[in-house]
Amino acid sequence: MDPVALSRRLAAGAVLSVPPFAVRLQTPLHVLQRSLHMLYGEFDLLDDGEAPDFVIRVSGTGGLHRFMRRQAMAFIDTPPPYTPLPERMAPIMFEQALNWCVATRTLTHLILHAAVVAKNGRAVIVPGQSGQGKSTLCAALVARGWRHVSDEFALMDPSTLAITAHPRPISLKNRSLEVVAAWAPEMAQSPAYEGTPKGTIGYVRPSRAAVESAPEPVTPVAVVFPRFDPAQAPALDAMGKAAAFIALTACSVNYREFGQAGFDAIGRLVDGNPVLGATYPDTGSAVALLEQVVG
Amino acid sequence: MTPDPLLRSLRDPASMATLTAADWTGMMQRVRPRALLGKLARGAAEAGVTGVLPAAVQRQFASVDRLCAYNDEHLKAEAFLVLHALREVETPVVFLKGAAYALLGLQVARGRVSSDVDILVPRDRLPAVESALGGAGWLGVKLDAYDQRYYREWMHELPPLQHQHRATTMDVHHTILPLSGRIRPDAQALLRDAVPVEVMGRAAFVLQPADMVIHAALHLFQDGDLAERLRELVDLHELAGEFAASDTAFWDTLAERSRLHQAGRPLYYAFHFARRLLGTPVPDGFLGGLSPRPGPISMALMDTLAPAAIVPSHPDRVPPGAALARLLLFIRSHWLRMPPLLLARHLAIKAWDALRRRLG
Repeated sequence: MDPVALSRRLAAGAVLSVPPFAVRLQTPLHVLQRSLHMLYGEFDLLDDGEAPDFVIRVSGTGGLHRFMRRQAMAFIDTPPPYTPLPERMAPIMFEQALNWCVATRTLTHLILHAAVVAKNGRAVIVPGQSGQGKSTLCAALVARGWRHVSDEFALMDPSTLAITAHPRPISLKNRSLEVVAAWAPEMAQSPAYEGTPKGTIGYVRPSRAAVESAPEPVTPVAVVFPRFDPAQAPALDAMGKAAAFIALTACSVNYREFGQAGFDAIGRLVDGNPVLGATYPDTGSAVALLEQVVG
Repeated sequence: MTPDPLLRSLRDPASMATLTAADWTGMMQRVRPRALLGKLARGAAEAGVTGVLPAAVQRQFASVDRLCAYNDEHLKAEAFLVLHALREVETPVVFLKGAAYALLGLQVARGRVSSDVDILVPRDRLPAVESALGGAGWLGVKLDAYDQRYYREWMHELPPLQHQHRATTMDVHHTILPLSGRIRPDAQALLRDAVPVEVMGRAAFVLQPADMVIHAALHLFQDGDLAERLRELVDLHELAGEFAASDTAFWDTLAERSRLHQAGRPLYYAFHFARRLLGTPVPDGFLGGLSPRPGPISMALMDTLAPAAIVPSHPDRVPPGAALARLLLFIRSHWLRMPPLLLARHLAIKAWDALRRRLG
């Protein structure tokens, strides 16, 4: 879709397919319209006759901010738990709002805060809070031909452990932006947004292949907790089952709501698959370790 | 049949099958902040139409079903923990509202997204109860001296408690309406006629059915501002429906208990509007038999204002009429809550606080 037509539709409100969800976004902000065209260029716009999972409006905050230091704020049906950002950071505001919707309103799947990548159908769950290297590793592997299943949330079926793909722009922070740009100069990156509350943030555009393969779920064959440490040699260490169980429940955003079913699901994930810690000093050795895991 | 797709979906869940995408987009935004999504999901499932709804709606319904199932378990577990915390205190513990509905497994508990616990205890037991709950981790949320006094002198409950680890909120009541208001429900009768219920081997109580309905009606039409609180009217509709189905004397008992609790007017409004908006089958003669009843002027005003206020608006498009109705009913709720001098003083203190905060 050409940028002008997309902008016009977004200004009125357009339904975007962000598998497995339908997201209705309305925004008058050109900076976000342009960024959508770049970062979601491979995603499909749905017919306006499609009911959405989530409805998000990103716009200015009004008042005096119309005239000075313009802001962008995401409006959902309930007051969301975040504060406005400068208008130029509207794309970050949209990603935050969508993450919030997915994390707080999705109980069809047990959600782990984790990236998921797959090679030859063999999927690896890479959990981790922001800043531990999961997104960097995800981008680095995707650049080497791995399937981009998800970069932020693993949506796991609690009975089959199958993971529904949810590919989104891969969020990179600070040094990761240069690391990924050096590792894969051909990968399309958004402009870097400097001075956000979390430093500089930029995004990698998901490929057509990631979007096209999204309807096919994957089955995990391993869980790998990344540990970037420039002082260490590359190494894979098996985690104890109990420690792995606790670490995985801690990184689930909706474990509590699943009760017994969640306990059983994580138990089976840990019993049926290796859970490893991968220590690495640089991107090259990280990718080599993950290649070794899916063997 | 009503043209508002939300009211139509609540009255006739099978009609959800005919809604357009635009209807769904607007309706989902209206119901979610008002905890009505679970009611729609349950209605669709019971009418057998879930499978023909748009995929996104089915996903959101499945998610809210899971949330409701969790909340139900959570309320029962919290009820047990409350009783455990109070095991050394010589007091009856009466669970109110959501916790009571969950403990009894009532129809109204299904599709109800709410996880706060409310209990009623005799007023002279409050200090012992508050201290035992504090020992178990339920701590008062921070309030200034005026708000503390407001609760302890004029309200019907302690300042809200929050559990320090589980983030559960709890209200400890000693009656069901503020002490400063004009209606005085008979708190002793509420306790005396409460019904025993077992919570994982521990003894507790819930209000008798008629009192449970009166409490819900008072909460909405005497102590509340009505704004977008359609969910509570749905609760009343479902409670009355289930109780009347199992007890033919239910409506008579309800009228009789309403005299004891001076609740004729709010109960009149509750079932007048439940019938008008949700089609509750209120028997002929029930409303006419209530005493006291609203006068003709009050009734005409409420008939104009209440429906606009109570039915949730779209968060981005609140019609001016609904905003005005909500403002007037907000003023009404304060008027009912306090005598004029106390109200004037309360508003002056709150305005002064707001001004000070603004000036920083």
